[in-house]
Amino acid sequence: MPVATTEWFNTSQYPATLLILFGVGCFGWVVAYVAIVRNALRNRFLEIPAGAVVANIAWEFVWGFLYPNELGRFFSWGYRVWFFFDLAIVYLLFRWGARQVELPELKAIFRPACVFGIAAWAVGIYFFVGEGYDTGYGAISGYILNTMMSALYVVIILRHGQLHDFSLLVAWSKMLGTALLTVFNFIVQPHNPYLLFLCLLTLALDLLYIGLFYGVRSGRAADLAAATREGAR
Amino acid sequence: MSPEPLVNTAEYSTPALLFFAAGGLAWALAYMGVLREIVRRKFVEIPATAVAGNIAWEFTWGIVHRTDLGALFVWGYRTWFLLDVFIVWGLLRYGVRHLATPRLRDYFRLAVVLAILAFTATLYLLVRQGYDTSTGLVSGYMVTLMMSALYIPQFFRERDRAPYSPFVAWCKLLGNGLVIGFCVLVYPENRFLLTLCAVTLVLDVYYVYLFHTRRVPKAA
Repeated sequence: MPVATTEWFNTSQYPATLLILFGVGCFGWVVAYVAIVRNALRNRFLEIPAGAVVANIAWEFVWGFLYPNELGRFFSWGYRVWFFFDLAIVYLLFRWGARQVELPELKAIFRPACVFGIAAWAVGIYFFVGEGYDTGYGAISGYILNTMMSALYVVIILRHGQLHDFSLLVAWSKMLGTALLTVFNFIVQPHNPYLLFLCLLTLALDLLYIGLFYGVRSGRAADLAAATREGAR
Repeated sequence: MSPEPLVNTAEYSTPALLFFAAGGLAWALAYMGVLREIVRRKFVEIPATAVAGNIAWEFTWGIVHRTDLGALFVWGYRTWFLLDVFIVWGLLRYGVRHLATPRLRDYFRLAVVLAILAFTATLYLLVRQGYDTSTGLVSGYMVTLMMSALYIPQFFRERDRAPYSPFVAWCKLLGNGLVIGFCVLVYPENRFLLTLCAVTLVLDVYYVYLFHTRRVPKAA
């Protein structure tokens, strides 16, 4: 179970430079969330995969409200800020998210599936932390989600293929935000190879996604995306 | 060192072991049902990502780590692994048919191999880090939950649902249900594992319902 701290910044356990590193990494994700919402409002298409949205909001709820953050109260509030940004994303998911799927049968169950997904992830993460599997700031559950999200991003850009619905700013800010948190984990959790492997896997998938983005934009991978779209029908 | 018992009745009750054995047998039958369709119709019904996760888990728990349920179960895990080797072979050989696009076919096999390697490393490290039970069921149900979730969209996406096997759908549900019985008896305090079990069961029941209501498309 995570240990509660009354400090805003837990500098007794973590040097200030590391907390700044973590904070900057989190800020990268705020940039990504703002860009996701802005693009969704403009395009009426939510680029972040539905499977990732339901897991993210559940993680932010559990770690923002139900468990204390070992890094300090400031970071609990940071997670809550993510949560409130993510509420907007969840709203957009329910409004336009069904456009991520093409089959009418899947569209019909899309919203109930999202509700089920959020509830299942929230309960699962709550007990994952409760069983003592996580770090004191949610890194392991967070990176399980992150790895899944990064993999789903690769799938969704290939399947959807309309680049104007995706943002390069999101691609870079999520990669950089996650990469900074990865550096933090390498310094703070050097004896947890499971977590570090998830970090590296996520980084590899994020870089693949950026590479695909540029590839589709330059036309070199455009036929690959078109082929995927065709195959998905 | 005392020799490993055939069945570890010292640490596990007989009803719990029977639940696990029956569930394991149902899963072996499900795998055989999948293999039968591979041979008969060149059709792999398990989603590719789930196949990669399964073989990785079976390699990790059948070959690298060792369950403490007893020698019989060690060989049971290895039997799953062996059956899954043939399913992976079927996936590499025929799985590309699901994609229906020549360009993606070039990357399919590479993606499957990379996914198997990534899952294997992840599961190996998860166990080494001490996050699993001595029977491998935390990582096992993480993989199973993913498979049960992926079955549903794949079933919807498939134009021709006839090759999906009712035998496999029921064996999968029965196998998971029985092993969940084991989990409830042996790990009543591990609420994370029980949550994974419950979500998997809901998804499996929904899949069986879908299967029987939508396998044959309604006439226009």
